[in-house]
Amino acid sequence: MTKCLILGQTNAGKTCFTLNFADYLGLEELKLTVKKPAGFLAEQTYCLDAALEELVSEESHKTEEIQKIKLKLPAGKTSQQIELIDTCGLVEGIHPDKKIRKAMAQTLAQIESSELILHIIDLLTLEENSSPVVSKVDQEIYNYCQAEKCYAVLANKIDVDRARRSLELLYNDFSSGLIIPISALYRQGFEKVKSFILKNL
Amino acid sequence: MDKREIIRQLEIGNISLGKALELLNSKYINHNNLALKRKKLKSERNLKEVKSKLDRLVGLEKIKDLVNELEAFVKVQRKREEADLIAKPLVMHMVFKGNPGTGKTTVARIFGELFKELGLLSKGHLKEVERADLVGEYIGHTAKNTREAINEALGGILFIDEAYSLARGGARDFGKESIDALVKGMEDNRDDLVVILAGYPREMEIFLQSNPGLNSRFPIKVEFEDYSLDKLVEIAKLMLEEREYKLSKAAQAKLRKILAEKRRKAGPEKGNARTVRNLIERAIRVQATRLITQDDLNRQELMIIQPEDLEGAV
Repeated sequence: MTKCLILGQTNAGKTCFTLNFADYLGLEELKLTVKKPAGFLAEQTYCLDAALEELVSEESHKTEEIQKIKLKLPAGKTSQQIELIDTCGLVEGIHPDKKIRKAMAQTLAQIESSELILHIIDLLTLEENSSPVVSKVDQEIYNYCQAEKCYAVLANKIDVDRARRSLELLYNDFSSGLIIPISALYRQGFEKVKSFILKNL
Repeated sequence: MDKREIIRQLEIGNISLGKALELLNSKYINHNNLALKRKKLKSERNLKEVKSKLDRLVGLEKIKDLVNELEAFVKVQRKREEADLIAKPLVMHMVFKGNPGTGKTTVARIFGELFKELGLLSKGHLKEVERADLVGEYIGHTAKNTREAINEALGGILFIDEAYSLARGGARDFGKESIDALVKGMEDNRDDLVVILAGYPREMEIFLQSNPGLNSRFPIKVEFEDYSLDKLVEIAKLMLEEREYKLSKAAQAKLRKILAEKRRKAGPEKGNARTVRNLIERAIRVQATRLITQDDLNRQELMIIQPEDLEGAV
């Protein structure tokens, strides 16, 4: 089974992407295996709408624990199992909340054991900065994963017009990496993500 | 701090996330070498393809071993470089000794592709030259010709066939000049050029003995042994298979007899893979003339080579 890790800063749209992408790949019922920061595993079943409503929000750190979704992808005549792993958002600095620190540590530890890394970058936060630069955390993640793993950057929120300019910037800064523009909410660019995953199974 | 410790420090709250990632990066990544894994995978696949080409050749066990050795050597040197250890510069100049038709040129061509995939050469093509291409008629032409040949071979392999002929002739022969220019060219283009000297075993031995400087500059010596009769029949079958033909049982025996006869007359220098190829190409033509007079041929008949075809080809 291929593990596909989805990471990024908080509010980049990781959970939204994971759920919508799972639905796009044809999952009827979401069975989320949740690894609580305390260490044990719990399984929860959602239907998509409820999951989107409950798990996705505009506040930061909505996802506090690692959530896994198992999927079957048709590859040729057979199908391949993959596991989408949604993680806690990464933020710069030392976070005051112990729980979130632990979850972030878990995220980093997961990088090691995953074969595919999808790094979601929010184009709008890029754009909001007065001098648009890719944040240091994103840059370090890029450097780290780029060298070691099968890695793609998903530039999220492409549906907003303002995002175009920061996309240019991203292409400049991450010139040697694979960048796929997507909209997690409106499901744009998903076919490219799918083909990337299929190619690297 | 190892990886786990860095992650633990992050969890405790001693270091920030940015700092943790920075530490992870500095520890595990050689920043000059931010190679894409996707690219790596691709080149691995190409490498396999090139090696499978070599595997399809009959015999040549020693050369297959040598290739594995070279591949391991290159990869380990690369790893040593990454770990800041002394990595010996890779001198890959070679001498191929073998009778005609033992696969020297074929192997050289495959080596070019192999070195390209291993990242030793940028292009991996084969530039084949012989004495006449290097040695000029008048004073001064030789060095120029040799330099031109080297320039054309840059990024690939310069294959000098019958290299011993460069030392032929007396003290006033221009061949010596060519050797000097060659040695200089090799030194100047150390990173992106592999020179292969090829020729008959006995003559090459004398040639290298008489040029000690040259001998030491070609650290890899490869001997191409003569094929046994069994191997030659196997080669014939393979060649025919590629062209979608088949030998009948009787024809196999006939082929073996013809080859043994040739060997007995002229020694193994004559009866090698090239002889087999010529024989087979002619046999295919003879088969065609035999079939043209017949009507309604079936698939099988179109494929089979009979002993009389081989007989006619000799």
